[in-house]
Amino acid sequence: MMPVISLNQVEKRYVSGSVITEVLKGVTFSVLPGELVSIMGPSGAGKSTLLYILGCLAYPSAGQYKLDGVDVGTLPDVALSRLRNEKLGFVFQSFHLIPQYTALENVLLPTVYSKGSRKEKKQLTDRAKELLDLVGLSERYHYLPGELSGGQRQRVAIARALMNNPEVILADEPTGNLDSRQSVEIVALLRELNERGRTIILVTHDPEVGRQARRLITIRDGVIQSDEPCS
Amino acid sequence: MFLKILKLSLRDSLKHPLFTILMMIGVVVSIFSMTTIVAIGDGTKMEIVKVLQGFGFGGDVMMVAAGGGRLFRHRPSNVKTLTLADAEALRQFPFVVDVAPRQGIRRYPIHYMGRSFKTRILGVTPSYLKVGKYAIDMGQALNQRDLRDHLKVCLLGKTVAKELFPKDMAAALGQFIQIGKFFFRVKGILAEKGQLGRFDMDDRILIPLTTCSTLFIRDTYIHAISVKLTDAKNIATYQKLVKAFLRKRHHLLPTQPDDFRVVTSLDVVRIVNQSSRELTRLLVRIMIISLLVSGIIITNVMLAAISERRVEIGIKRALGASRRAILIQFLFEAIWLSLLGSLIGVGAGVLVAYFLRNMIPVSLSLHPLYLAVGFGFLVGTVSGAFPAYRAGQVDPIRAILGGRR
Ligand SMILES: Nc1ncnc2c1ncn2[C@@H]1O[C@H](COP(=O)(O)OP(=O)(O)OP(=O)(O)O)[C@@H](O)[C@H]1O
Ligand SMILES: [Mg+2]
Repeated sequence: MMPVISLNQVEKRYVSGSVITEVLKGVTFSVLPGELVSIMGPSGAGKSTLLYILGCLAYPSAGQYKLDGVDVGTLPDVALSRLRNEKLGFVFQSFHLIPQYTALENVLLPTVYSKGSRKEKKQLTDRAKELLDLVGLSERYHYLPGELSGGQRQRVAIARALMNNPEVILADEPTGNLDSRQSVEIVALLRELNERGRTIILVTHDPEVGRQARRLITIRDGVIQSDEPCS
Repeated sequence: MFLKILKLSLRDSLKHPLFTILMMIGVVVSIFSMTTIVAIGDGTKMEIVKVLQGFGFGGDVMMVAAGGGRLFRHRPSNVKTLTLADAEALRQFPFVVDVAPRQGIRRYPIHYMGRSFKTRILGVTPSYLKVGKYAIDMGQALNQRDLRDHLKVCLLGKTVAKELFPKDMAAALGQFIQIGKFFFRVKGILAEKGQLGRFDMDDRILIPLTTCSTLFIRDTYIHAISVKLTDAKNIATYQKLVKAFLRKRHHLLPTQPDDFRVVTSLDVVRIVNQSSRELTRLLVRIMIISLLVSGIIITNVMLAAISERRVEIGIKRALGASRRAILIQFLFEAIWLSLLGSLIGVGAGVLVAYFLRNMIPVSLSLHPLYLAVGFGFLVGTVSGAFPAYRAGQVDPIRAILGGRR
């Protein structure tokens, strides 16, 4: 099976003035379709940096990153944006819903940047509603994020990540702002999505959460320290 | 996708009403003031033309006024340069049909049976009625005998007649009204000439020129001569001839300026055009300034809005918005808000002009609308370009990770 994600000696450094910060120092791994991978490691290890490179929001400084067989490092902004829109779904620690939009509008947001006309608007709205139903928010279509609990907001964010039917879902500490009961629910939801075939990569600090994955990558100081299946 | 982004930008600006209003304010105020200025300026121009025509300034009339200098300047009425003999001498020109010399006093008190009023007193000859196209509504016109005998008779304008004889104007005929200290017999009432803006052509009393000279002006020098010409075509030539003629009669040396003015309808048109050019120039200046000011307002409010909406931009980028998509959204937001502001400004301006139409002359036309659309588009594009570019450059990762970076 062809990996959906494959990294080869990926490096990332930030240069600000004379200060050069080496964040990733040669990371190599690949992810097959349908995997559930968690990335753990101490604060400052470069987990988020790695995830946002995977998410095509930053170019690697060196090395090669192939998403679905396409070398991302050579793509211009517009093409990269299309990749994000079509192949990737993001879930963030602080949810990052747009506060002025209702749950439904938030879920529909990725479709604005998709190809295709607005003719299928009804279809899209139906799909967004289905996704909200799927994450257990069938009663909350028209709620603003401010009117939802943290767990509910993260559910909306997950529905939004699923909207364009992406290859991979990238989650940066999705349970970081949630209490333990809500965390359990969100992780269960992600596992359920994975069981239905969705590839998921999640960064977490919480060993409880990390252990729920099928594969655990630990990084430290910008290099992979261990990469092993979970029990 | 382009359309969807445009639609999104409409929706987003409605979801940030404060920024939206702040962004529009400059444009609204600019366009509003411009619309009212244009309406009042055009109205005034039309009014000036109307008033001057009302003076009897048809193309075939020229006016010789006492005193030199600029054409339309009020000056004291004691300029002693123009005589009745000057007026009569003008008749020798073959192109002169008639001459109507006059003296005038502005706002002179008149009384009748305890009623008082102030009006314009004009000392005229019978020719004045013909040249100025006055008709007699009731009673009789002035004649040569009135003039020869310095009779204290008068013709009342409709406004004066109504003021002094509110119940029955016809009763005025034969009555004696008091002009200053003197009693004048009302000989006739002039037909209505109508209101020309703020200038009431019926607010006047005509008396024999000779009577005016002896009782009020106490001098025979006249203030102005209306000259009726055979045709309007060669008026510029006639004007030159009359000027040269009067300079000679007044024994002016080549170094001396004219001590009279010859005004024709051409001068009137020229003056009106000149004043409208000045207005246009003023308008252009105001436009440039307000263009700058509203542009600066839009740019700054937008920059503030963008730093406020950084996270939103980061999220949209993560969900698949390219830099270009973000740029387009914000640029379009600037343009459509600036257009909307312009339209609101035009609307408000037209509304105000409409309410003012009875107080001051205004002209309502479509011009401000075109101006506003162009202005709105220009200001929106130019002032939105830089902030929109900045919005496109927002680093999505920093925005998403927020305070942590
Ligand atoms: N834009 C940047 N410029 C300079 N240094 C940066 C930049 N972004 C990240 N870094 C540095 O890179 C290192 C890794 O950051 P990163 O956010 O990837 O760590 P992390 O593993 O996600 O940590 P945490 O667990 O706290 O989220 C940090 O030391 C950080 O200071
Ligand atoms: Mg992190």
